[in-house]
Amino acid sequence: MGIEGRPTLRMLADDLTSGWSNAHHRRAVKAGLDKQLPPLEQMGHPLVIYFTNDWCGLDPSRRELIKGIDHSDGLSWKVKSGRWRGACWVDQRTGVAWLCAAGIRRAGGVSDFYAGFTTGVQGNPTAFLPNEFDRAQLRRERATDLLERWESSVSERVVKALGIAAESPSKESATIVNHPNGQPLLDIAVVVESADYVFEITLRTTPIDRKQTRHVERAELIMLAAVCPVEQSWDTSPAGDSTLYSVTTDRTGLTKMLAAATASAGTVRPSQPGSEAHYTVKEGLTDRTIQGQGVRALCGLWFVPRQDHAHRPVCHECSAVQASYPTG
Amino acid sequence: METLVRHSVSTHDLEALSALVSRLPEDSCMRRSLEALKEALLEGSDVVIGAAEATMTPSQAASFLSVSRAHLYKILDSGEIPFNRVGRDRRMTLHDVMAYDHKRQEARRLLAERFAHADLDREHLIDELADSLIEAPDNV
Repeated sequence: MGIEGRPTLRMLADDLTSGWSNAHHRRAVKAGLDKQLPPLEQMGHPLVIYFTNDWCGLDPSRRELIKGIDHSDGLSWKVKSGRWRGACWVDQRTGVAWLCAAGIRRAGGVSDFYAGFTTGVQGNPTAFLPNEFDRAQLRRERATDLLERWESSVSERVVKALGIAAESPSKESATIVNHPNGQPLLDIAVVVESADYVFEITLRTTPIDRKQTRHVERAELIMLAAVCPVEQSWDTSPAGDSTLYSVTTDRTGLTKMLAAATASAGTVRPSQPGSEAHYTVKEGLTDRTIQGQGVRALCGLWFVPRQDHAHRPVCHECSAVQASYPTG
Repeated sequence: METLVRHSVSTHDLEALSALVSRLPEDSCMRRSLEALKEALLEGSDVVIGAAEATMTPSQAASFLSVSRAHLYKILDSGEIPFNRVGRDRRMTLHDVMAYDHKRQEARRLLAERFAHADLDREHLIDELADSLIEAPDNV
């Protein structure tokens, strides 16, 4: 098991002046990052790739200390790959190895980079250390990773409950969804019922930890998309401490839904917004579009209006209602 | 109890309603009620007419709320709509069912908004989780 290695943003932006294998990463680092970037330890530069994939997994006896540096708050190591020389500082408190400076080995002087680094550190010890931005970025990436694993587990759980519910119609299949920290978050129950050839899947959710609203709401959306990703096919009804979410379909639809849900259990299915344009009352529509608020269509559906309705097919039910209005 | 489905009301009927309204005295409370009826129809709403204490069967309530009977029973079991037992069956008042419909439509609006804002809400969740990592023992 290796150690967790991270490049600092300053090193990526200032020290890795050439040799990038991914021009997009290089530009993003220069521009100050954005949320679309891959984790920093996967940046497309040979030194970073060597550091992450090889150096961090090296047996400690094969690592080489940088001499002439105060190691009292963490050790500084040499990281060498091709012409590139890097300096890695291991934060004793957290165990994270920060690739915090880099340069190109100059011909004729093997230790040039490290001599310069040592002098630099003696002049200004904190200049090379990871700053608050680096730590915040690391926390964010860890949080994203944690969330993704949690979302997968939520999806897996609801699909399993759905599978059991489909085996025994009209019988609730109940389970618990945990918070990413492992504590119980909400009770869920899935039931599949049928009447007059109409099949209804109902998901009942009951929060256990009511303070975790954001997690509860995220878990619910993950579960709805896992069962049926078509957003507008879902109906909802408040039911005391619980909320009911239901979707109705025919036998063929149910079979397809179950197959698709089973096939993608444990993955996060993106939900699909409606593709039709709806009629609604004009009053206040502009404000609602700007603020992202829902409006009710003539057909009874609720939707959040967007700007691009002109190119979409118009909902048949809405058209029928609209046509029945007296003109003027 | 009578449900006026908006698009089944003819232009002729609406004109007759207007004529009736205009014949009633300005200060008549019946005139105000009929005007409200006319406006609701012109706005495109369906209108239910019945005494507030009029009762509904589960079938009527399910149809009014556009839900299946199985779904309605789940709602009733949760205590959201008060009901009386008539033998083995249950009865709700029009007033209580309408109050619940209002609450339900609000929940349906919120669900549409939650789907529309899912990406942004997820970003907030990541921020919240990242903040909680500062407090964690293995912090950064």
